[in-house]
Amino acid sequence: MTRKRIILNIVVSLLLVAPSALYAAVSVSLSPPFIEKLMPAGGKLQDTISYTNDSDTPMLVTVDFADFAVSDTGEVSEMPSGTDATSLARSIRISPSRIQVPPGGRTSFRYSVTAPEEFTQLRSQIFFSSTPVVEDAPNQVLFVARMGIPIYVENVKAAPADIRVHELKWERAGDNDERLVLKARVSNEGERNLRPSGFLEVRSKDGEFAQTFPFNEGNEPVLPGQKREWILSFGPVPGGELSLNLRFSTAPRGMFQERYSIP
Amino acid sequence: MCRGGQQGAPATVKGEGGHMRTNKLWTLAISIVLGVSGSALAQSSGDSITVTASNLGSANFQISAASYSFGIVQSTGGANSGGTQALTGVATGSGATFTAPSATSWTARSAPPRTIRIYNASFSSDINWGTADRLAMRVPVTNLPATAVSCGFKTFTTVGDGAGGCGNGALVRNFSAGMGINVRTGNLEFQLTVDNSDGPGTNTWAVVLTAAGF
Repeated sequence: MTRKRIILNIVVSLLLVAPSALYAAVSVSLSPPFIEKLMPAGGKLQDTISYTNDSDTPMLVTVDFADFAVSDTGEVSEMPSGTDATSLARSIRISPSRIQVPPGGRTSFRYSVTAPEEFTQLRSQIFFSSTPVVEDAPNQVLFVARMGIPIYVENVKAAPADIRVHELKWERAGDNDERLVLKARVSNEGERNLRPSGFLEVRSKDGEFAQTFPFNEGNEPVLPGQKREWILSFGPVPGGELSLNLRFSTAPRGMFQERYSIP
Repeated sequence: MCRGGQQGAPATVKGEGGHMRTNKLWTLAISIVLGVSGSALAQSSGDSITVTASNLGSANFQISAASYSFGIVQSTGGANSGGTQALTGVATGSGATFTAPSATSWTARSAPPRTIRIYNASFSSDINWGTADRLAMRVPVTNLPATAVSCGFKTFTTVGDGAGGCGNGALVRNFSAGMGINVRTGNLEFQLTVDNSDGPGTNTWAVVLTAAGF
């Protein structure tokens, strides 16, 4: 991710999150949206997660943990806390576990992690359930917003991420073939996460169209040992022959780059 | 290196071993880390290292109402009484079904963008007639990316997310807040069934919409 894009994201976050939040009955924000920590075996750390209630009602916030897995196609699945081999549940504590936050209120949840003596990567999802405090009504449905913040703890001695690209396939899609769809099959042979970032440059043969699209805009990680079948969409792009330049990170110091010609 | 370019067929590339080390980029990455996050690479008293460069930003989840009331409903169908909006129950012979096609809307946003998933994790109800499963909910794909798939109506007690895809409580899949723009808005629909055998009274449900990332 470039410096320009990081700054843009921060600005967008300030512009989009705060003003629109004022108009929702339930509006909760958590920062950071995900946590990745490097720790030595037996190490300890503490940090905070910021919770903001921009709702027009008080929120009773409760915290719970869950283990989670990510399928080959990127679907998050939740499992009971402490049941998966990669669970961080035994090593993490958070406080408070229950608190009422007034409208416009902000609070911090402090968590601490004590790393076990042997591990490569541990992970959990920290869920914040926000229950509006409202009066009862007949046959009423109460809306509870439950947001999950994934936390990954990786051993400093764990091997860095190593993304292998097994197959890339380009297709045109959309009503007028105005989108380029990349179907990618990759795997992570390392022991740490990597959120591949990069770009796709698209140029028409006549040179009239030239645009750069971000790669992995959803900021998805490839987890250790994971095989991913990625479907990424770029566009709109014009018809006719296009030349593509795809470049994305595959390791802390590694890049994948290929050029293609699309008829 | 240039591959593909086969006329009339999608370009397929086997990219095994397509890595390229780029020292220049690594230098740039270090400067971004140092420039953006003051705590990046900071090391404490020797037993922990904190890396925060990649997890800046925030995630926001909104629901346009705190609650929704069906009001008083009858197993014979017809108009409800005193609810959030006027509904007309459709008689089924054994009871009636009340459908609220736009009970509320939700908005998920994230900066930086990220992929999230929305599913049902409801757990709380106070039932005085019928059963908890008389309430079902659905997220249609209206306004969502073309790749989104609605998982149809899920009953209130269809919880959890163990199977992925449309399994268990999944309300919508192939959805992300952050492909192209970093905000997505969708609707939540409800369906309430009242049977002839139900007694009078009122119920309450706490519907838990879960948005989980990775």
